[in-house]
Parts: sequence; structure tokens; C-alpha cells
Amino acid sequence: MALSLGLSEVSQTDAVLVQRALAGDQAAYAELMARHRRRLERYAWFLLGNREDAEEVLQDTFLRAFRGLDRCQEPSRVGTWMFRILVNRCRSRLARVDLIERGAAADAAFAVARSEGESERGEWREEIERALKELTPDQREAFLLKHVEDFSYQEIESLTGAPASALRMRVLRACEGLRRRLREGSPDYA
Amino acid sequence: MPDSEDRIDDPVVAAVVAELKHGPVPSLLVEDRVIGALNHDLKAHRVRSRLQSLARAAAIMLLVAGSVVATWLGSRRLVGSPEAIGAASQPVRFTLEASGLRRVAVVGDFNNWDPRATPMRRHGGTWDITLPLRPGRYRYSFVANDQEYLADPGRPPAGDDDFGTPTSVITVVN
Amino acid sequence: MVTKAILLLSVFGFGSLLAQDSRLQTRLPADVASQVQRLVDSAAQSGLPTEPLIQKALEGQSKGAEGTRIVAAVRTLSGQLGESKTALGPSAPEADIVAGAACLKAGATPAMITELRRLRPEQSVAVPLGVLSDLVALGVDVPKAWEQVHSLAAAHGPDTDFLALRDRVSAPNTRQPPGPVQPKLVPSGNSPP
Repeated sequence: MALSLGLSEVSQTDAVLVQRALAGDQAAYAELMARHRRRLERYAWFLLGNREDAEEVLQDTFLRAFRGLDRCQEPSRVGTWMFRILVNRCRSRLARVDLIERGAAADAAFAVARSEGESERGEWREEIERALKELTPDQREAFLLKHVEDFSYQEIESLTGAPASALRMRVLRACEGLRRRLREGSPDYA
Repeated sequence: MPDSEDRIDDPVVAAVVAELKHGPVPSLLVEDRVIGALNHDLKAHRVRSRLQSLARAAAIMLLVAGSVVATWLGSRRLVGSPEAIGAASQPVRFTLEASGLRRVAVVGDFNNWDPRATPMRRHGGTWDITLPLRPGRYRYSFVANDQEYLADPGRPPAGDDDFGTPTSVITVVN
Repeated sequence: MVTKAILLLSVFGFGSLLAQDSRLQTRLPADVASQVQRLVDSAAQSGLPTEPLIQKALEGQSKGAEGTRIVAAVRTLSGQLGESKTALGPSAPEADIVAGAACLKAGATPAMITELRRLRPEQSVAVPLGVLSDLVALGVDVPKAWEQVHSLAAAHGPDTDFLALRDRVSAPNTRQPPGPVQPKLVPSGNSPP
């Protein structure tokens, strides 16, 4: 249903949900979470590399977002506001735990289950996930925010606090790293 | 507002971006835990608020009567619960050895019995998944090929599930 | 802390904590959802745990049960939760109430639940109650299962002792017959964490 709405109408609806949530409407907050969860979980999943950390960070983000909802200054952009919280929670998580050291359990959890008919796509997906994990956290963060979540460099500056020049360099390095790691594994590689 | 630097010239990186944007991502169904946590906060605060209101009312009455009320309410003890919010999750592995299946998922009290939420991975003839579960008792089943409910042969049965399908139970302790 | 309580209370109000649970709304037919929601609200007003009721409804939906069967199952569970809370006392934690309801369903009596509470006044009885249900589900008759659980409780055994008792009983019983269709099932041999 939301896909048929224009951007301003979706924004309006987000603002209304925020107001309702602040007034005590639990279903409104549940709707906000459902509406924005997909994008947030995608980022958390690819940045952190395992389900347990991604779930804990996402849950923490939603709790903090609710508890601070009255401080959201642009209710029509609550999704981006939640993203800021998520980026910070992910950074805290990365700073506490060396995810690369988690070992086999994390690797097993990180890979997406594949169906029989998509084995080639599944292998390519696993290659991507492995290549992502080989980037530095800063590079992975910048790459995901820029090219997967489609934020502008100005927005990413606001989300992360890092200057745009540094962000551009991280994205460049990330692309180089992915290219180097994946060139031979790409399905389109001739 | 997109930058002019949004264009990706390299086909490999473009393919990566396409896969990450549009490919499957496992669902992290945390909304229920969030609502549960918020409700738990509210219940705990409501209990304390009620106790405080009662204590204030009683104190006022007895002060008017010229005596002091012992704050027995403050000594009331809430027995601990193994499902206290904040109790750490533990990794719990679910395994099923079965051949000839196209898809297996685990469903239970921890994921709203949603067959789409937790698909299991196959390694040869074994299906498995590891989930973080807080201390507590969970009823669950495996769902094979989106239609058959199977109990877990490796864990105790849960008894009658009210719906005539096999169900298992797991107890996670601290 | 009081300020936070006031904030939370002003946000949600003293009214129904759960409003309408969106999971019921999205997963169940409207009439079933509203019947279940009424049972949930009633349980909440009685101070009973509501999440098990919601999970029971979602389980029924997942398993393709008819609406009347789902509502009946939720209503029965609600009654068992109430009986369990009565047997355990007003300050019983939710986990104990839920485990007590499972015991009642398995055939235990309220007096057994009250007795376990008496033997363990400072600790949760969720695990002993859960093990009592598990033993019955494994085929141990209720009096025998009660005798074993009661002995451990009287000896002030920790939760791990109760789980070990259940594991000893369940070890020869985990091999179950093949499922109703083609899947070939072999016991995985995994023990609970």
C-alpha cells in the first residue's frame, strides 16, 4: 500500500504514526518498526555479519528510538532518525567485539540459507558476504550507507560524524577491495 | 538527495550492490521483544507507582490520625523470573537429520510460529540453525516443505498442543 | 524513577497495556482476532501473562487450525493460567505461572503447584514445574512424576538437577517413530544447552 503513495504522503503518514506513538498508541509504534525494519535489518546484517549481533543491535535501536521519540525533530523522517541510532549502536558493537574472531558459529549464521534451485546465486552471495567481511569496518560502513542505503555523503557525515572526504576515500577503498576479491567470482565475469 | 558520485562504473561492484539491495535478508523479528520490553518496563513502573501511591495515601491518612505508617510495601519482594528483561540470550542449536526435504524451518514461541522467519540451513542430510534465546521455556516444531509439522527427535515432546501436531519443548536456563 | 514512571504512564495510560496486538490483527481473521484479543485483554486485567495466549493463537494459525479451535485453545490456556496463579500466589512471576499452566494441562493438580511453591519460597519454580510437565509428556504417570520432582524439591535441588532428571528419563525416549510422510527422521542426539 505504501508503494502507491507519493513521498510526501508516506512522510505524512510517518509523522502521524510518531504522534500516535507518543500519545500511547502501541500499534502505531509497531507499525513504525515494521515499516522501517527491513532497511535497518539489512544494514545491521551486512555490517555486523551475524544474526545474534544484528538482532541485539536492532532491538536496542528500536528501544532507544521509542524512549527518545519525543526528541525526534522531524517525525516525517523518523526512518533516517532511527538509522542514526542504528549506525551508532553498530559502531558500539563493533568496538566491543572483534567479529572476525567469532569463528565458525558466526560464519554459519551469516550465510543465507539457499534453496536448491538457486545454488549458483547462493554461492555468489556467500562470496559477497566473505568479501564484505574482509573490508575494514569503516569501509564496510561507508560502502553500505552510500551504495546500498543510498544516503548522500552529506547525510552520511551527519550519521557518522566522519568528514565527507574521509567517507569518499573509504567508499573508494571498499569498491577496490570488493572488485579485487570478487572479479573472478562474479556471475558476469567472462 | 543523491550525489553525482552515485554512479557505479564497475560491473562487479554494481552486481554486488544489486545483490545486497535486492537479495534476500533473513528477517530479524525483534518487534515483539521490543514491545514486550516496553510493556515490562511499564508494568514494573506501574507496580511501583501503585505501591508509591498507596504508601502516600496511607501515610497521609495515618499522619492525619497522628501515627506513622511502616512502609511494608517497600519490603515486598518480587520473586525473580528466569525471563527477566535483560537476561542474556544464549545460542541454542536446532538440528534435524532428514533426507528428501526441500525446505525446513523451525517455528515456536520464540518467533511467533512463523515458518518464514527462521529457515534452517542444510549440510548434506542435516538441517540446522542457531538462535539466541533468553532463559525460558519454549514450545516449537520443525516445518518440512512448508506443510508438515515435525517434533524434534532430540528433545522432549511437549505433550498435546491443542491442534493435533507434534511439538517439542526446550528449556533455556541461565 | 518516578518521573520516568509518570512519563511512561502518560504515554500509555492506565488503560489496556496491549491495545490491539498487531500480530493477531495481521495473522488471524478479523472475528477470530477480536475474540482472542478480548481473551488477552481479560487476562491482562486479571494480572495474567498474555504473551502465551498470543503465541497459542499464532501457533494455531500457523498450523492451519480453524478459528473456533484457536479461540477454544486460547480460552482453555487462559483458564489454566488463572488456576496456576491462584495456586502459586499473587506475587508469582510470569514464568512460574506459565509453567504451572503447562503442568495443569499435563494432569498435575493445583495442590502440587502450591506445594512446590512452599518448598521453594525464594526461587522460581518454573524449571521444576516444566520438568514435571516434561516427565508426563514422556510417558511417566503423574503420581510417579510428582514423586520424583517433589523429592528433588524437598532436597532443595538446583534447577540443573531437575533438568538432569528429565534428561535421564528422556534419553531412551527421544527416538520417535518416523513422521507421517516421507521424511526420514534420525535422532539428532543433541542435548539441551
